[in-house]
Amino acid sequence: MPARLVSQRALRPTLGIGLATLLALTVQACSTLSMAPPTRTTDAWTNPLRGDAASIDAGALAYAQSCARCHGEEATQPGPAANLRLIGRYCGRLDDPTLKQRCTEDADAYFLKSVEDGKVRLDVRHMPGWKGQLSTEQVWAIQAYVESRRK
Amino acid sequence: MPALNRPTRSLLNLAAACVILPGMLLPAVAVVESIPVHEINGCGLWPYTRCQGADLRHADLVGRNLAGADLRGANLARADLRGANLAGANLEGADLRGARLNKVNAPVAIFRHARLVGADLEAARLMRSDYTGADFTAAHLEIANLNHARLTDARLVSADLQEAKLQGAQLIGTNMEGALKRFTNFNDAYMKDCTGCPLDW
Repeated sequence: MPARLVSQRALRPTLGIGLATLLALTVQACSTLSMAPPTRTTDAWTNPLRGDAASIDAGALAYAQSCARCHGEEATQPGPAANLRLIGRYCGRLDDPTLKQRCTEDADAYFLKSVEDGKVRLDVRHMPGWKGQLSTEQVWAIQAYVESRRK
Repeated sequence: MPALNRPTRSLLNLAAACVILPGMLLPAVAVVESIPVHEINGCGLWPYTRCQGADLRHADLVGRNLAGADLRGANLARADLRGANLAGANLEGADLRGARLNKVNAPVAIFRHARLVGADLEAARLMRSDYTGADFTAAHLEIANLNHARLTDARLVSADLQEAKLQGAQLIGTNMEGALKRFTNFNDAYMKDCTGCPLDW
């Protein structure tokens, strides 16, 4: 019994220090969370096939089959839909490599999401979603091809 | 030339420094001012940027290209977006109270449940955009183009709609009591359950 009491007394400062550390860490974590910019999403969707010659060739074929009808033949001719070569072009103006990477990720995410989900505005479907018909690799290959068509 | 005493020389040196130094500093200042800003509070200022919930209060975004940007729930209160490009951007639930959006280009954009109280949208291009449940109370929309826009359940109380174009707009359940509607074009607008809509169109 006395031995137990002694051990409890000996543990008290340790417990106190432990609780204080835990409290300090919690406060620090909370302050870090509140200071962190609430803006960035963590989706790091970067096109892994950018600049790859074989992927560009595969992308050309997929583009001709699925995109050219609306976005223009060979990604250079005018079509009723948007000019895809403009997506991500702005990022080339940025000098800072970190900002350029972030800008490219944003453009890539937009490209992938647009292709997979399609475009619906005011209940009007302007573009069908290609999810299930085009794989993610095919979408990246198409983007790699489109970017290769920039002048 | 008579020799100058020490206080006079010091004064002359000081006067010379006041004249020469600012001249030397001016180019440096000009360089600092020309550095472009590409980021505010962690939000990248480029097309398709993903800035959900960003704090962009009072931000200077004049002429910025933010096409396709994800600004859902962003705080843009009193931000300056004059002439900015927001084509296809998503600003659902964004706070744009008191923001300057003169001549902003925002066709096919999403402003569902956005707060635009007191915002200045003069000559803004807002056609085919979605403003379902948006609050435009006392907003300035003179000569704005809202053709084919969806303003279902939107609040346009006391808004200035002079010469605004609302051709083919959806005004279902819209409230525009006290709005200034001088020469506003309501051609083919759908006004079911609209409060304050004109009865002679």
